[in-house]
Amino acid sequence: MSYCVQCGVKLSDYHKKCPLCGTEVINPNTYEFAANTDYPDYPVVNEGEASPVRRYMTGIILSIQAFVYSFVVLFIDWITGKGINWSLIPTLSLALLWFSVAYPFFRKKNSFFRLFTYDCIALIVYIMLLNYIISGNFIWARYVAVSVLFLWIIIAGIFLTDKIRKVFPITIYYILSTVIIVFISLSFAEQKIAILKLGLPVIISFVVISLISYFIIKSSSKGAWTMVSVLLVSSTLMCLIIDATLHYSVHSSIGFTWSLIVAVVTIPLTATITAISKSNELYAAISKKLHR
Amino acid sequence: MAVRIIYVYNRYMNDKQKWYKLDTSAKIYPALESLRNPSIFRVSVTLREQVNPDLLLHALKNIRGRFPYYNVHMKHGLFWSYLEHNNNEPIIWKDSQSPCRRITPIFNNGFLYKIKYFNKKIALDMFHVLTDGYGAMEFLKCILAEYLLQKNEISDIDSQYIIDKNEIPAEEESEDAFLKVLEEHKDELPAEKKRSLMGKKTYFKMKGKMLPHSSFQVVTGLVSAKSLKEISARYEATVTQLIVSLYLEALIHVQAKQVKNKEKHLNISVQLPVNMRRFYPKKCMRNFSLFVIPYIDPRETKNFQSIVDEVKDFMKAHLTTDHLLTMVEDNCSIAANFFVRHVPLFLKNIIIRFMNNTAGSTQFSVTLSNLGVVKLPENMEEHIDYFNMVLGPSIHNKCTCSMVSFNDKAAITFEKTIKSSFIAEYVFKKLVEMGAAVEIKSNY
Repeated sequence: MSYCVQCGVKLSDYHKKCPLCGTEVINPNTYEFAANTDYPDYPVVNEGEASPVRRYMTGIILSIQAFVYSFVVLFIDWITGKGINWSLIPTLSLALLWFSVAYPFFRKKNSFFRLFTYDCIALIVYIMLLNYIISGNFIWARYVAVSVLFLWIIIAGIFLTDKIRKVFPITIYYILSTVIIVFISLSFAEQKIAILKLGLPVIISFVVISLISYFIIKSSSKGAWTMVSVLLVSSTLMCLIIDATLHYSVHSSIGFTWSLIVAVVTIPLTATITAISKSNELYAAISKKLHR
Repeated sequence: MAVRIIYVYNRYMNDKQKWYKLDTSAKIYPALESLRNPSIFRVSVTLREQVNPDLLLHALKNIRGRFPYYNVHMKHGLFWSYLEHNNNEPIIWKDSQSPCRRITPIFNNGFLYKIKYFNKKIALDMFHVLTDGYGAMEFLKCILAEYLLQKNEISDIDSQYIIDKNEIPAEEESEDAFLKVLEEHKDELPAEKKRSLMGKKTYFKMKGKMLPHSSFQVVTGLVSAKSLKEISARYEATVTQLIVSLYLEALIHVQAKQVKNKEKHLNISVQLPVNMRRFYPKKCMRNFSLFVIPYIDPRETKNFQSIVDEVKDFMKAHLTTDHLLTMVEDNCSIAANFFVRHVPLFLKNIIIRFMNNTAGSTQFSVTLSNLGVVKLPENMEEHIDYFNMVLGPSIHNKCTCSMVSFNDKAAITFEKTIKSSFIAEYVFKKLVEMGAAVEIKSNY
């Protein structure tokens, strides 16, 4: 019988470490731990029983298939066309498929994010090569590549948020990535002025308003009430900005039309909700009247 | 009036055919049952010798006729589910690493309970639709007595503590005791009706990294019941109040770690099932327990004694027949409501699941179930090491506690679906500091 030096509890003979605090059990008098007498251990695969399927064998089978199909396609093209012409496209597609499906079987550890990153890189390379094979340039592939990159940035941000769990670095990450994407798009976009006039103010204001709203909601103690009022205010601001941007692009001056109707409805409502949540007595009285 | 109609109809149908309506408490379990929330609990006994599975199966077959309301399979009607008599042969199972796994009736000959064995342990995993802890323990005791008789370890069974297997089951055992109590005591209902079942308060819910899917960790601390009583006497409390207070104190520390902003700290509560048979002596062998929810405000708590005092005051105020009768009435009135009764079952299940995931999940922080002291005839005691109880995994209850005592051994079990063992570590460490010797058993 052992004791845990941290917790002071008696441990059973089968405990290699304390189940409460994780402290290892070191008993100089015994060299082997007993089997668990209270619950069965996880089943152990003994010698003579079927061994687990090897992952890389599956990868090898898939690779052989991809190689054989590519070879057949290239061979047929070479025989019929006296050169490699159309077969590059299906070969490229098979290469992408191999990288997405078969390659993970050769790796011991596959996390979703790593596989997703590899797939995004493979897709960008594939699209670029496809564009070059067909047209001899990278004109339309750039747009697809930027879209895939933007998608990767959003997914990466979600994983980063889960790891870091601090608002400021995540905020900087999303702002910088949005700016980078916008500048990359602008560098080869044909209608740069339209994007600058219409798209950029809306995107930037959306990001800024979302972040400010998030900070306010997080720091408030009356969560639900504050969230409602913040959402109303941020929606109103977005409507005003969109309205102003559209008005400027058409009339070359800032003006408000339909967004004023939205503001007239939401601002008094927001003021009422804010006043109720700030006044403890009013909050209690309204809650009492509306309780179910 | 609606309650009266249901009670009379219930009795009439039970007389006519071998089927049972779900009792008032059991109606929610078919809707909530899932892989991660199987609504199963376990009562188990550890003997002093290895279990013989053949004799165990033989014992189960001998006594199952005495408990016809457990030997059922569940069927689904248009408005409610119901239980129908199951003529299949029962099966004995070898125990698994994670207890209280979901019972799939199709692989269990339709039965809603499982008898498992491992080494010296006999365990009964029970679906909560059938009964509560008291009913399950009586069933297990009966199987145990018959098993020891088959093994020639004992020569006879004392019917003072063990249900007589040759006795014809009383009608009262399969009745819905909630309806019956309400019918009998409706004049005693307090004049001021307060809705006591579902509160409006939100309580702290602890977070944690979940264990791999369908994994469930259990750690049992065996403590001397005498030393527990001595420790609780020092704080002028009962053993249950002491363990509840330790549990609450552990949760204060958990909330302090997980919620940095003290202004956002919520009240902490423990859901404590109460055996209604203590207040209304009924022979009911199905669900007949309600719960009280003692809580504390961590911002106003000064020391451990203040927690104990608050718990004591709460229990004194709420463990009264008035309050419990109000809760019974509340419980029954929901199921008796005209609209609730006539909503199709599939829709009811969706609504129940939704209510459980929203309002139901915030009604309490954690659960603690004390089954009390198990009494056995003297000729059986020498063959038993200890009893144990395990509450099954639940989506909203990441860490639960259960307690049962036999002779001088009290088994306090913490069950969790998260990686952190902080609460169990805290409670057992505190008990050691207070002077109790704790022996740990676990499945990990």
